[in-house]
Amino acid sequence: MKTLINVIIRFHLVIMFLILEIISINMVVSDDLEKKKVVFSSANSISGYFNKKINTWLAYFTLAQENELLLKENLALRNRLNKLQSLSKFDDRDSLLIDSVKYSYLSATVINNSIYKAQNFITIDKGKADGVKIDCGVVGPQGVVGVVVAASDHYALVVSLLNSRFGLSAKIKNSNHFGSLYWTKNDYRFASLAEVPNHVKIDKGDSIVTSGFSAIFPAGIAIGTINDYRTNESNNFYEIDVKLSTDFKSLYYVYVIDNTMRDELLLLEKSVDNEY
Amino acid sequence: MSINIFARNIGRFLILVLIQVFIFNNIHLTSYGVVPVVYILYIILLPFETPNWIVLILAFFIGLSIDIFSNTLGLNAAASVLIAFIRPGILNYLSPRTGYETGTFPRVYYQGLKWFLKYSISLVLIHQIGYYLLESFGFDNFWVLLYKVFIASLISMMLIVISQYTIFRK
Repeated sequence: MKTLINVIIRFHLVIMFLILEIISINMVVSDDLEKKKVVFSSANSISGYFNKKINTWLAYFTLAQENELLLKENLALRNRLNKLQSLSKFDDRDSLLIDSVKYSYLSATVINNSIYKAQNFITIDKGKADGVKIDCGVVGPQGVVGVVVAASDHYALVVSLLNSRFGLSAKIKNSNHFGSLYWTKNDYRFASLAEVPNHVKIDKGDSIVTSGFSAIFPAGIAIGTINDYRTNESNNFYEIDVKLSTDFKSLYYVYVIDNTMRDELLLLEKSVDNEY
Repeated sequence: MSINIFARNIGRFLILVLIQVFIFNNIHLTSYGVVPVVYILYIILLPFETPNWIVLILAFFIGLSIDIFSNTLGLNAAASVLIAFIRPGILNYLSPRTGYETGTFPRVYYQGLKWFLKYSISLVLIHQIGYYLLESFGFDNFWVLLYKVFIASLISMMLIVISQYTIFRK
């Protein structure tokens, strides 16, 4: 016992160093998206407060660019509305109605964003009090941005598409073949689409959109376009490089999408899972 | 005297965390977006007489504070604890034959530029190597990693040296 205490006293620095390193590295390794605590993130109220203050200043520099993006989005939406209105004259499409009822939208601004780390997160200025929930989807004017992983009262932490721990179900718009989208290249402009079988005809420039399987995003939201693809001899799947449509570097306005029927859907899927 | 130093160090802790998180974390250099790390100044400037175990704990907490605000849980804490552990060895290696005079601090004003450069460059380099190695788990391209460490350390060192002639003159 006495020798043990002597050893501890003698090596107390090394022991403390090892303990603190183990704690830190354990935090790095076990930093799961599911267990993300809002207090330990940039969405806590102190960080949110300062970031919001700073961001209102920084926003002035990109205002013109942002306005142009929103204008373009408005234009696209107006065109779509026109098309839908002319469609609904001829046939009564219930599916469109149901789709629009199922999802509710909420606007927010990005107050903190990173694109150069291995794990990137975004902080937005809306939180639980505004109706943001965990697992809500987040899209920008140009396409998919990420998913909410933690929310405080007035701020929320969003895992960005630029995060190697985050995957998204996506499909090729023309052929409806789906696969999983991952961020692998450590470049904020590109992601990879996997699990698309070899026999599907694809081409450079084809649009990649959300599949709508995940109950997070509605189907058909833009993700990007095919930039390049290779055939993998060993497993009959393509390796597709996707150029992301969202410019994460200048992200400012975003929409939070809440699927109001999500709970019902998950409950149904879970009940089936249990039985089979 | 000692209470004064205590209060000053707590103030420095808070100010450096705020400056790092809200100013320097928004500065992205080169196409890899490396961030200058200025909060290391806190560990660099701790008085010579600070017990080593306190240095370890303070380094852990300043690293963790930075991590919380920049969503990199554990990364900065690990790198800071590493340099806090190595610091006494470096101080010992660089110490003049008669030891450090009492009442002096690890700053350019007291120890000279040459001593300060040797001391802070080694800490900054080790911190950055530890940080980027842990961030990529060694999967990053070696030359890319080296490049990131070099640029980040260079800019951080410039800022740290500038601080010695402006804020921490005495």
